[in-house]
Amino acid sequence: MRKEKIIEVRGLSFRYADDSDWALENVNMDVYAGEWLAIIGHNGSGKSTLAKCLNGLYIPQEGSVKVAGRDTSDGEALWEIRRLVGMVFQNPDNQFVGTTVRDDVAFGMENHGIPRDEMIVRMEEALALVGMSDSADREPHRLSGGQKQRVAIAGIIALQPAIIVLDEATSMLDPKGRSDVLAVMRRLKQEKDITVISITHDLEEVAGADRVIVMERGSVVQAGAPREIFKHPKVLLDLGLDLPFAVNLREHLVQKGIPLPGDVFLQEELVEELWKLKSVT
Amino acid sequence: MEIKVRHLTHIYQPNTPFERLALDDVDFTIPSGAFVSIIGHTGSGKSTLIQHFNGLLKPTKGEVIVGDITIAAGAKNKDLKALRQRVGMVFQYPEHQLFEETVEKDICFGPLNFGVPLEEAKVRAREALELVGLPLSFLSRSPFDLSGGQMRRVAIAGVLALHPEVIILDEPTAGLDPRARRDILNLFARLHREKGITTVMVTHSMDDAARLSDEIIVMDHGRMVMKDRPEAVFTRTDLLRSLGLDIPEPMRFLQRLGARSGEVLSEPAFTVEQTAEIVTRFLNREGGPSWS
Ligand SMILES: Nc1ncnc2c1ncn2[C@@H]1O[C@H](COP(=O)(O)OP(=O)(O)OP(=O)(O)O)[C@@H](O)[C@H]1O
Ligand SMILES: Nc1ncnc2c1ncn2[C@@H]1O[C@H](COP(=O)(O)OP(=O)(O)OP(=O)(O)O)[C@@H](O)[C@H]1O
Ligand SMILES: [Mg+2]
Ligand SMILES: [Mg+2]
Repeated sequence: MRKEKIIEVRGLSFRYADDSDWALENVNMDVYAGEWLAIIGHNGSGKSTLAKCLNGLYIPQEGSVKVAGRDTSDGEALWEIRRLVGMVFQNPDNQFVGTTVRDDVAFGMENHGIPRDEMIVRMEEALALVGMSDSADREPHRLSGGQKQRVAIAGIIALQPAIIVLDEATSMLDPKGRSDVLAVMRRLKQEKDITVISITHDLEEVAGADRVIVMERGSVVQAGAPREIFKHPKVLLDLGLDLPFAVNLREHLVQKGIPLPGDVFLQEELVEELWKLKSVT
Repeated sequence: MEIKVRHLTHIYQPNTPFERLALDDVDFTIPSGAFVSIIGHTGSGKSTLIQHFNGLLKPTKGEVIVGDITIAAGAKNKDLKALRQRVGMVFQYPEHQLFEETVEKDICFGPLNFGVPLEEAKVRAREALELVGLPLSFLSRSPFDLSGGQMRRVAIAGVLALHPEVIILDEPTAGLDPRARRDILNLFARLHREKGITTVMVTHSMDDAARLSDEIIVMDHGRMVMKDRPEAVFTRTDLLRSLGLDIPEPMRFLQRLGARSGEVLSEPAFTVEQTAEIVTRFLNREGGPSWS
């Protein structure tokens, strides 16, 4: 399903100050239109910094970032780039601008010039999708930690930008909340061909992505389909990362002498393989 | 230290149009030296509950008794400083507890505030930073110019440096990478085991709650709906799911395998090792070939 490249990153290096270490060093990567791209990596590996380079919040000192052909270093293009790339920040407090939940969700849409009638429809839909409809008049800073994340996510759902960047956007949600939000995102991706870039430590989510990028100390060290990436467990473990449950369990079972194919990687696949073994009499 | 919660009710912005009942007659006891996890859907009252344990919030009704200090509705609390010295709390968002200009000053703030001499506080800061896996070069950095996971670790270090008797953790692993997550949870488990530190952890990770806790408290809309050992809590699959919660991943996997094979595989399993055992037994049962 290789489609057109919607983001091209070439030789990107970025540091926060002239005398500090590079937070990103010579990063090359592409994002394809309509894909779900997961970004994983240890704390401080540069994931959030990279995310902020993708929507032109940070401009690289070296190299370039192009979104739909527009360079983030071109001041004239920035407005259009920010319209294309919507972002949910790691800490939702950094994102709130409105004094009520309603104002907050409306703010982004106003900026994008969405007509008022349309705004109201989208607002209601978005708040309903994250289960916050009855909190529209509340103050964002008085919400619980997970409620804040839900409102931040509603803001992006209402905007429907071509590219959504989620920076650990579901880290404080309960299990149902998390799977609901991921389901909504998957549906948006399907129906509206939205590209999703998701920074996450949640391996189940990673397993379901189209592609994964692995970052280490400011560089991209691996990129590929999750199935390929998780074929080399040792590499990931050495980077301080973990394995999806099914991969981990498969390793344990193989050690017990149970013959399982090396490419089993989703839970349902492991279930099928075990069922096959069980059925052999 | 024992924590007693007696008919605790908390109402935010009482007597305004925004009045909100966040805790509704919650009543339980956490024995001294226990490791207790609190789970519950978004907005169920977990953070509100634990902020009573070090006096950050006051009961609207009822009382909270931590060791020999009582925090009661309507009463003046003069012992708050003593309470906060003994009860260390890691907030849900680390940004809410970092405020100094350097990491070192930030970690030293608590100890200094409670009368620890500067030199000793600095030693503690170094120790704490090592415990959370950050290099000493971070001491001179601004806590605000850090990545999300690095901030979280500094916030945890600040609490460790207090040498508290009770540790309260509000989603301590959100934003931590897998290695840090494992290391820091092991650290809390060890402090609990070796030093008998009473530990209360709010978490959305059913797996962490299952593996680490003596007991789990389940919250729903401001009420406590269950308080039991993990083995008991996680056999109530349907109830948990109706509350927006779930069973740990090993059990979800076994449930899937059970559904495929028509067998019920619902015994508690919290680790990949336990799961491997159960799967092996499953394969060996009647008829199938035998794997050691
Ligand atoms: N505002 C800032 N000023 C200076 N340095 C920063 C700033 N933000 C991040 N850094 C540094 O840049 C590097 C990359 O940080 P970044 O936030 O991109 O990491 P991350 O991969 O998102 O980590 P995490 O998983 O902890 O969120 C880290 O070493 C961090 O300390
Ligand atoms: N400062 C506040 N003012 C008014 N209402 C509040 C405030 N803080 C929390 N609430 C409300 O009280 C209820 C309980 O919130 P609390 O933060 O305790 O939930 P929680 O269980 O910690 O949720 P989460 O998992 O999302 O962090 C929620 O409905 C929340 O909106
Ligand atoms: Mg980050
Ligand atoms: Mg909370």
